[in-house]
Amino acid sequence: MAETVTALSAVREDLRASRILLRAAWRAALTYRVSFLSTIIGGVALQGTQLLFIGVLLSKFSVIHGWRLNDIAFLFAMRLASHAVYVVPFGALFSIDQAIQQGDVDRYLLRPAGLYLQLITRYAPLMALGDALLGFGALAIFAPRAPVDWTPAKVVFLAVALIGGGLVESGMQTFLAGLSFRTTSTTSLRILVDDTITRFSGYPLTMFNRWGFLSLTFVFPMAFIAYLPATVLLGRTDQLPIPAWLAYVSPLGGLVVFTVGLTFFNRMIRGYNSPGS
Amino acid sequence: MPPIIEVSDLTKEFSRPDVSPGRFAGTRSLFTRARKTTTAVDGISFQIDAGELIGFLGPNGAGKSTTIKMLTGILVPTSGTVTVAGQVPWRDRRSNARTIGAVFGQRTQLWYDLPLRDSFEIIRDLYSMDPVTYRTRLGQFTELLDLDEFIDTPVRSLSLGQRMRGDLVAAMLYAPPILYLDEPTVGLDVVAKGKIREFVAEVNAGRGTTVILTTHDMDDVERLCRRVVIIDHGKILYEGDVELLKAQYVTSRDIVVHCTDFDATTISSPFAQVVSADTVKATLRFDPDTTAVPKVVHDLTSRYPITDLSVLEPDLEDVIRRLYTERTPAAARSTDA
Amino acid sequence: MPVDTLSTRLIGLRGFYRAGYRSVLAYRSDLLFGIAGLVIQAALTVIVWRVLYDGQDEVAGVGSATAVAYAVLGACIQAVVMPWQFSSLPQRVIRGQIGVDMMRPRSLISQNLAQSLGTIVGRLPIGAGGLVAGLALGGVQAPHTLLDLVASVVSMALGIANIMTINLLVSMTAFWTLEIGGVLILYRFASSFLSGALIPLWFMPAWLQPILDWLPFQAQIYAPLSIWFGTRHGAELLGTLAVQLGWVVVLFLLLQAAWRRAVHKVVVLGG
Repeated sequence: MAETVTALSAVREDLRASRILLRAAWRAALTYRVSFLSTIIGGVALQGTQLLFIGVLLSKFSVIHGWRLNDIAFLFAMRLASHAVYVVPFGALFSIDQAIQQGDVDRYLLRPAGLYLQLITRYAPLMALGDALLGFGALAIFAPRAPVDWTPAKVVFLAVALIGGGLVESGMQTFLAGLSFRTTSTTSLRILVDDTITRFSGYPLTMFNRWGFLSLTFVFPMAFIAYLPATVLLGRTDQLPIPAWLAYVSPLGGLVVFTVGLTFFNRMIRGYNSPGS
Repeated sequence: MPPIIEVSDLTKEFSRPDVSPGRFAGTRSLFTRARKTTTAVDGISFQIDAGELIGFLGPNGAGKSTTIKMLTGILVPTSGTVTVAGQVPWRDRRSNARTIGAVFGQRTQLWYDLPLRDSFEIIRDLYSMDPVTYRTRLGQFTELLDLDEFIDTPVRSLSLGQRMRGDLVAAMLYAPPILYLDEPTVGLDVVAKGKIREFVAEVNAGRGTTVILTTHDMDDVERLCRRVVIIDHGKILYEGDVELLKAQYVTSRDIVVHCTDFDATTISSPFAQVVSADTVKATLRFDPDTTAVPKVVHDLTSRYPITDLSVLEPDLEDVIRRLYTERTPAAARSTDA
Repeated sequence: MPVDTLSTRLIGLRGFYRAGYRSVLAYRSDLLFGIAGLVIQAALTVIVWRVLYDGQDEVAGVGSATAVAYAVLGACIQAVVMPWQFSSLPQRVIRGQIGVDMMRPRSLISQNLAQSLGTIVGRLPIGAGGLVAGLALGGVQAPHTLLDLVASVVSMALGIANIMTINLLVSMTAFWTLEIGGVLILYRFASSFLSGALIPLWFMPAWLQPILDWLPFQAQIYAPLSIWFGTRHGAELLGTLAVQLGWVVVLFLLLQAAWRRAVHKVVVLGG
């Protein structure tokens, strides 16, 4: 009983601390001499290139694995918006190797707030705003054009799916960040994961044969980011080699992946080898 | 009163993948199971009482910083126990954070891009300080360390001395009972060092803060610490009074005499050996255990026209150097004051 | 006074080449994950393009096998020559360390180019991994004739020289603007698009084609791969190679000019 109380008060403390730290991060961002515009453009560049790529493809190939232009555009927009749900709050996690090298993690361990929280509030998500602009902009354009009969229930499902999708990517990157406590550099591994998700999570994943699809669902859970919830909204769950109800509860996948990732992360702190003697 | 810090059989081992050098060593390290273990801290034990100002000394790579990191909760010990103010630092990190302040000489805890004042306010908020207490204490510290001239300057524009003062205030703002200082005076000019030492002495004597000072600067130790812990190769070489350390390990003392109108190179004594001499000054060395200081002084002053004389205090640096090279853990523990 | 002949200069630059090469090997796990990443990308790319072509023989005049092979080879080349960081030049400018570099006896341009070359050679295993994956999946085949093979290798070398020069040119904007981060990212992705690395230029909309022809980017990857696939012969082949060479020369002259202005800015104006 006492433990639940401490756990709850720790969460409340962390929420308070996150407000304080984020305010500091934004104030710091305002002192940077680099323009907002160029940073936001940088944020748009990586994901935006994929969008252009798909656009050019679709102009020449009108169908991808039975999915037409409006289907794919919507799927891709969901992917981009989910990515924003990950990168805006959790994007700073990417710099964990730097944080360790520079001694910031040592300092975070001495403050009365969780280490994870301090890592994700390290700096203000300036570049991530570009991702958010792109993702929600794309969604605003392509969701109405998608062959979906929009009801309030479906809108709610979309919102929940975006959050779930964001949590999948967040969970995966959190898990990888946990590895950094013991090994020297996991940046390339994190880039590998990020790249694969960026390039391929916006496709109808059943286009990769059955084994490919199953791996991308249960081993490397990319399918939960956008594809599975999209099949529900687009009424294409019959194409799945897995039971349809799994697609209906796919947003929960994000919760599962995130919990696993965060738990692993917190355990790995015990093995932390601070740099330098 | 129970000691505020208790360390018992504390051990820290680091293991690395054990891979023979050669092609693709890095790759193989990802897959190998064999591990090589280094023991950075080997079963050390000591206690620190509340209100002490204790020095932590030791060569680089000796296990000193690893010990401090276990005390502060940054590292989890491999075995042994460490209790700080009744808590286990690595397990109760949040409550431990409120009982300690820390200043690392190399790396600032302040927010780099913001004015110094902003860092203080952030800390005030993070540690849930009462605004009145905050204002009063900040006022006192500002006066003590002359912060007024740069408190509104961004931290990235501060000089090293200014930044260190800022870090000290940030560490003490919420009045933690324990303060860890890691090389706080390194790279500072004489005046700045003095101000820092003054501040440390004040928070210790005036506010009863327990201070653990890690340093290579012997002046810091001489001026501030009554007790020291010397760590080398993961073990405690010596733990006890500074004065006792000097008394135990000093086998010689130096006496410097000055002469005018007399060639000091001709000075000699049956009780002491000449170490160096020029026309106006001579330095002689003697063993204080066999010959009492007054005897040597009397001998020299009665036979030579000496205009000035000083008997040098044992040099702590020499003592420590001897300790490191001899490397036998000293059994001595200081007698209670 | 040592004579500054071509051989002494080359020997002097060898150190920078080695530095670039070693910087890749220093992070072996990075190299490994780079290879793994490209292999995965190659495999998935093959599948994507095959599915795209499902039921169609040709799109925009290009057959499925060619498109698949193109996508894989483009990805391989890009992985080798387009690392996340081109050169340390922008960082050194921002930190004010560039003054030291300018005093060195070997021109800064040669230094940087030698280092980039070293890095590229160090990254070749990544490209090799992707190529092997592509071959294993039957997605890639060698050129039809020996002439095509030789010509495409020559063309690739010119393309890489092109890329190295532009990379350095773009890095040099650090002398004039703080927004170097944004510039670099924008360049990286614009070039991956316009060079044909991401998508064969055959598929680009018609109105874009003339613009692309006038930019140096298509000489980087699209040109060598066109030769690999045997689409350029005789006069056209020579023409392509000539255009590539022309671009390399032009870019190199631009580089020298930019360098002179940068030196002027730093030395005379104290920038």
